[in-house]
Amino acid sequence: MRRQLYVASAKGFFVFTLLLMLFSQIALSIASWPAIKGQLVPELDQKSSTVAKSVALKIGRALDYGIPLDGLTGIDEFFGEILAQTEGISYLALTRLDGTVMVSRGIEGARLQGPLQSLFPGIREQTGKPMSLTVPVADRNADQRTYRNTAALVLQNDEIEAAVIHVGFDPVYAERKVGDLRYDVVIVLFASLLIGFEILLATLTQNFIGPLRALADWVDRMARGDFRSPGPSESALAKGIHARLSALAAGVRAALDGGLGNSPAAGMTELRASPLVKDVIMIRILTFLFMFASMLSRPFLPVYLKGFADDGLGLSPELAASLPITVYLGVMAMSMPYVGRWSDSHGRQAGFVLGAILMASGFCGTALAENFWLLVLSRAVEGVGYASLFMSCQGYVVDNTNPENRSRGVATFVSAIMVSEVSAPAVGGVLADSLGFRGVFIVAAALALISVPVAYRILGAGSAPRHPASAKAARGQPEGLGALMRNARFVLIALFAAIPAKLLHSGFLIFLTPVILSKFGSSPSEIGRFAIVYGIVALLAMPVFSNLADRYRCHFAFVVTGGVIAGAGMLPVLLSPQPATVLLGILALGLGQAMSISPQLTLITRAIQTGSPDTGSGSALGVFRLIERVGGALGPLLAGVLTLKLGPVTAMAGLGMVMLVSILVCAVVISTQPREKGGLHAA
Amino acid sequence: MRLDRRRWLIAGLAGVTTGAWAQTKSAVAPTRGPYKIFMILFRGETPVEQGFMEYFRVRNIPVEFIVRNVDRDVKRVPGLIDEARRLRVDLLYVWGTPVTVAVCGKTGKIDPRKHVTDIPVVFTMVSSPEGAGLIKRRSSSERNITGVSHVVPIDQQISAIKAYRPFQRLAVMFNPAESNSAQSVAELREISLKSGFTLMEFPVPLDDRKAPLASAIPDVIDRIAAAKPDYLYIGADSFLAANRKEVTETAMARRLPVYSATEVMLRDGKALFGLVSPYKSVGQLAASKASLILQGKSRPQDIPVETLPSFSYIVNMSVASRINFYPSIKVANFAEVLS
Amino acid sequence: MNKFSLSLRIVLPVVAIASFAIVFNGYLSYAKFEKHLSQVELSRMRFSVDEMKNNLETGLRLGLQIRALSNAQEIVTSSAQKDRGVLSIEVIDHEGKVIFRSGAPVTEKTYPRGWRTAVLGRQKPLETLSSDAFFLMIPLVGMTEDSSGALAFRYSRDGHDRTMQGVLRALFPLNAIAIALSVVIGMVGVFWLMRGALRRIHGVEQYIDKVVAGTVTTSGHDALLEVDAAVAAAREVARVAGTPLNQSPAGGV
Repeated sequence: MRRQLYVASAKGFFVFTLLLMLFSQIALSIASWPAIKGQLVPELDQKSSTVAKSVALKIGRALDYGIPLDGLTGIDEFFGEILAQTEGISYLALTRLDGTVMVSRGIEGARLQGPLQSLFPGIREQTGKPMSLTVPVADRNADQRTYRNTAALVLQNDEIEAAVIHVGFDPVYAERKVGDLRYDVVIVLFASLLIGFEILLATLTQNFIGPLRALADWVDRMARGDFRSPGPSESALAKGIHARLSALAAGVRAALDGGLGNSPAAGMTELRASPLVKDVIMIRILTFLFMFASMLSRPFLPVYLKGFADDGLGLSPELAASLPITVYLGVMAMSMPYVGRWSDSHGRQAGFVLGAILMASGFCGTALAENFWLLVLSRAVEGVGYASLFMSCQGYVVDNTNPENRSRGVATFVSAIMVSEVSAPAVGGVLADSLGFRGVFIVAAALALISVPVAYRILGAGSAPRHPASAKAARGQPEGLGALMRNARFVLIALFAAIPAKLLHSGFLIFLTPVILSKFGSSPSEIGRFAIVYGIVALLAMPVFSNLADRYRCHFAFVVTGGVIAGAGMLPVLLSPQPATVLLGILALGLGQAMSISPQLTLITRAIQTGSPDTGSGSALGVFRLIERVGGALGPLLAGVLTLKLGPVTAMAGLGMVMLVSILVCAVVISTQPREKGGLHAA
Repeated sequence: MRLDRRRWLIAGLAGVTTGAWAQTKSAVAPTRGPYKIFMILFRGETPVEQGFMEYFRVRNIPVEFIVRNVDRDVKRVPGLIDEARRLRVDLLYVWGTPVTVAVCGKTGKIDPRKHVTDIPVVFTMVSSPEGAGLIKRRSSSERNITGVSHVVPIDQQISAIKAYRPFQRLAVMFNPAESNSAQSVAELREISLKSGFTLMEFPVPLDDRKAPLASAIPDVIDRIAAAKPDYLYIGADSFLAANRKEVTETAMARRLPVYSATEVMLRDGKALFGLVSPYKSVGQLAASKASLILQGKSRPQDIPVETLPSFSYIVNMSVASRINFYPSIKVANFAEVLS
Repeated sequence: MNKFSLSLRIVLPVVAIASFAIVFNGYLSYAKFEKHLSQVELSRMRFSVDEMKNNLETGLRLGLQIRALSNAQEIVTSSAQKDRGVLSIEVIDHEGKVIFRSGAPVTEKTYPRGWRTAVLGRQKPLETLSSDAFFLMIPLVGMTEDSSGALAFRYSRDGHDRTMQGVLRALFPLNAIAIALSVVIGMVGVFWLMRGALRRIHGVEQYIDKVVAGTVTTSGHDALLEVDAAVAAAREVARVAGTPLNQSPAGGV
């Protein structure tokens, strides 16, 4: 029934919208290219002219010293250097006043000779004006390519014409570079599809899916024998079915009343609409907004920070780049309990709005800072803002779900995070190329502020915490900490599997990747493309691996293997330092973490249950998360120190080694421990 | 435990900040002018001294220059050292390897009674400070001396020769009695193996007193011409510099392209080209180091011994046209051309 | 809330996202082109600036200070005259003071931020396109620290702006058409889909009516099993309670 009621229609809406976006963008890109084509040529002509005149001047100077025209040497190398250093030029040639080619580079003189000679009178007459020159590509086939040739006269003593210099470029080739927007267009397309999906999901849920799903749930409840009525329907779509179902339910209640005398039905309280469907899904769009804003700067943040290093600080660039990131992560981790408590008492809406304002201020500060310490302060403010946003959203999910559907709610929340992890860095990279780094921070601040009115709409109702106890548990007060610390398995996994994984994630992916890639000469949009790989791999692989782990009960093996893959993937860059091996590392990290994140949580939960059953699992997990976050905060600092001593490439391998060694220690120690009941690796 | 963790983080941040501030500066007492510089020259005033003294003049730094010339007689040095001490000079300027060694002594064999250890010394025109035993590393002499080396590193010289036109065979003529000449030939030998060109050595014959024979010069050049090298290399050799006219003019007559590592053979001789340290610039760089010492901003042991940041590529175009051997277009454009 | 406003509630966000994506796409094309154009322009200017640098450094190599370069003024003036787009060329000493100039004087505020540290300090070249001109600054290397300096070159951005306007004029209609088409197709599509959705909902309503009235056989692939189950449960409860279910269909929609 659901299919007919709303699923089929919803799918139709999604497919239609996404296809609309896809086609419109592709069509636009294809149509834009011819519009831009040809606009670069005048500038390239001017460049050719400048180069031709400059070369002519240099040759003239040599002639002035008395070197005869035929006595000039080294022209071939000279031309070769110019071609190598100057983009966009296809060939350089020196000809006599009758058009015979003396030296040419870029295209063989023999091939140039014919076309140049036939065009020569025109060239002589209008030196300096670009003319089209058609040159055969190879001797065999009839292929030809057309160049634009600009000439300059070589003058001796500034007056006597001695020779001619020709500079040529291929307009098609030169302009193709401009049209090479392909990657960026794909990224923008992909990101816009994701964003569109999120917005559409929110809108459709609010207006269409939500009310209809409530009806379907109602029908299912009735099939199970529960004939309580939910509240009145707010949606025009649902009215008809709602009325029919109400009548049915009322009929049953009447029958019960009539048949059994006293009215048990009267005691049935009205059922509130299941909050999960509408409210919690809406949290998704909020989460998406603030996560997107915070991840925009990922591709270039360390590079931007490094730029502040040389203002006479006394700090090396590497430390200068890693310190603000560490401060951000550290402040975020430390403030989470406090802002969590604050949003418990003041309401989720307040918590969210506070967080959004803090985060926006932090971004503005980062964008406008001239001073390194102001920058660090801004990052700290951002950290508190992020913590408040995160805790408010997470708290809202917990408030409005009960233990049965909580994992679904959390999954919604987490998947919004993953989607923004995938799309935001790429878009940030593309934006950075055009707006500059500071511009991207301003955009992020704007996004954070936009989420405020959205939050007012969504979080208005139901934002006061309803289950303070569970909220507290979700925050994770470290009760019974002592018992946890004595739990050997817990400590081992936390210290030797979880922390190194977080170190690797924040140290390598967030800090080192932009540093290394920009050292190799990548632009921010290219770095963003690389960053997206991690998100995609993790997004796709995680459900697969967590299913496999559950099915074959090999959680421990997955954690170890995942750690090994992630660690080992950091090493090839030592042998071959280039972007490809960095990409390999990113892939390995994505794969390894997809493999190990979910099983790791299972292992920890089991370790808690078997080792220290008195500690509430909620609070124990909270402690675990806190420990993980400390690892995450230390990641950039460690990476920064390693970079300082060993250089960024070796630092990457160093982090990999840390991961490898730790995970192997963990594996060895745990496997030598006696198996417990319901053992850790019952495979 | 949370509180501890937070305190730890703050402490860490504080540590980083203080570390950044802990920069030591050498506490040296500044002195004001007018300064007294005592200059011990080997063979009279050269453009190096002109550049040296001009540096102070142009910047209006008041200096009194006391100039003494040993006239190639190193035995006069101790007397001059006594004079300098009596006059209480602020700095000693010394020219050339023999004088510098006499004034400062070789590392490990320093005698405070003979050698100057209490007055700062700036040297110039020492071809190889390490080879002469004056310093172990250029970054610091670890004593009261510093200076400027005027010799262009050998690999840059070979690149300069290649830039003129590529070559395979290099002949070198030198005075085997001069230690710095022998050393540069050794360096040439080493680099010829690495770069893959052939080196042909032509020492000037010595007489019974181990002095080079000026009369043998034409004969040596004939032998060189017969060997058909691509270039003839003349290093920082005093004997050949003293006989520059004969050497370079004979070579030019034999159509031998001559590369010179010193300026004098190009400006006052008929060498074809060279990559050189202009003497005036050497003097200026030495003066900038002396100025740091005099104004108390640094001590000699904190100032590295350096060469010039960039050298002059000089081409004698009249020679080039005489022997019909012109430079490549690149060299023709960036070199300093003498005609 | 009627069908129309409901559709609108769905159409508007859809069309908004699609339009925004189109605008962003167009912006991308524009921005990328501008980047490439600037690169070509700056590399051309760099060519001329490097020539001047070589000329000036020949003198510096002889140990002269910037202010002693006798040919500097002539080099700077003739370069500026060769190209009308040149706004100003300045030769600066190691303290940042302008020694030689051709063209309009430049106040220090219009220099890009951090030029002293970057160019004079770290001896790295600086190339930017600011709001009023192209700006190139390269270090001039002298023999001693206080005989070094820098060369500052400003070039008009009029040509650049004209080209970009041309690009904008070319791209704008395309984007506008794309947005317009998206809006139209979006609205048409959503309305059409909404009709289909409503049809399906009506289908469910009718099915419920039929099941309640008992006039439908529960076989066939278009059976809605959940509804069947619900109605069956209702009947069962009523039977147990002893009262037959009130079989009248629900009162009106």
